[in-house]
Amino acid sequence: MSGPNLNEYNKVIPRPNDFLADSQKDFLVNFQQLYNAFSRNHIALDAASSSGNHTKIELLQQPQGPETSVGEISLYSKKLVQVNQTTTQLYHRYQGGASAGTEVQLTNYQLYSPGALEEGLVSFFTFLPGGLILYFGIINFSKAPANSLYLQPYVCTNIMAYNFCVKGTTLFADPTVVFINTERPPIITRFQAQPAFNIPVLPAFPDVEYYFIVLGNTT
Amino acid sequence: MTYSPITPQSQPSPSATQAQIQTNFAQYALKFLVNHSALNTKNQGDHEKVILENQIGDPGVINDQVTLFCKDAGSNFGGTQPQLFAQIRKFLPTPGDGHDAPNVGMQLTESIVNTVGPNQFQSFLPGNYMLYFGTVTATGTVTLVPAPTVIHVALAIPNNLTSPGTPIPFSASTNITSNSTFNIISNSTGVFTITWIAIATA
Repeated sequence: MSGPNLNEYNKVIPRPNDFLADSQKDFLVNFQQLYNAFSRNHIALDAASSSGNHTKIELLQQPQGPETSVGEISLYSKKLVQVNQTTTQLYHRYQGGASAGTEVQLTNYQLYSPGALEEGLVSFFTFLPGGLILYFGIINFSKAPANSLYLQPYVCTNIMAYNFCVKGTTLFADPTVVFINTERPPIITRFQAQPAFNIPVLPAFPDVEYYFIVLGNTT
Repeated sequence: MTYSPITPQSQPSPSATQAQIQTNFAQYALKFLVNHSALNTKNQGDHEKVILENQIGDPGVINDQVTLFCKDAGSNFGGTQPQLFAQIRKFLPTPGDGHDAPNVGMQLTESIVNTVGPNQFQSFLPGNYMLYFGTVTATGTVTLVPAPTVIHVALAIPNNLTSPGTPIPFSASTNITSNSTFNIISNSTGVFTITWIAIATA
């Protein structure tokens, strides 16, 4: 007969002495619950084609990454707590054997297009596995506020590599820059060009555009 | 006979309903097996593979979770093809980032990579970006293959792989000339290798 809640899946029906008439509602509830639960992430059980394939994969936040055995990898979501974000992000764990495999963070932050943020700056960003963030775009230090390349969104805490390249057909010196991490510590908010990067006969901050890429992490 | 969640009915006799009940149990096991380890096996319930059917739009995320799904995405070289997306819960704006960005799905894949070269390679970055990189000798025009929609940045880095120990006597600049080409300009007078990196929207 039925369990305490007549609308929930009941794995102990029918009872030995039940008649079908007694168990009918239990069967109905169970079959409907199986159907509903399966349909959340899968093509429905009674679909004409592709039944059993996934429509999506909803990975509910886990308190910690699941341990993996040899021959297994896992995908899961976990809370990421950083200076300027608390989100649920996607993680991957390699095969592990007796102990859990190595965990790698696959996604980082919410992607959007900052576009033209400040005068002299066009910026994009994306991420790489491992909690890395990659900024790229165009900067003109002479026009940008405080002669700076602002690393928006402000989530980078460690610069790993960067490069500037003159944009255009006229050769020019590459800039000398320092990064500023005192405005929103430990966030590195910007690269600031130094007047010393220029040769003396030209303006302190010449009207030159540079392509840039900056690779850092957000941990 | 297919799965029927409205079985059994009250009126038919047990003998008339038995077949549908058995079908339901059998069909569930069969459909479950499509992407998961089969019932009654050691790893039952685990995924063995995930085949994602193309979705029309983002599924939406309300809970603390990540949703992976497949959706059509366009590129200049591959037309419109299903790609893998991830959607996270909306958390912007924050005190540190005032951008009120919606939690739209983030495209994680593209349809092509090139790890063979020999002088040009490409992979992809989340957000419908392509990462091209390679080398050229001295100056010239780089043509990205396959051609992306738009090149955002192109950086040329003078190296000196052909003459180790010799200082690099030149600088380089780049000039994007189309959706798939950029020029590398330098004042080099010899044969030097210039490494380049370009990021583009697919």
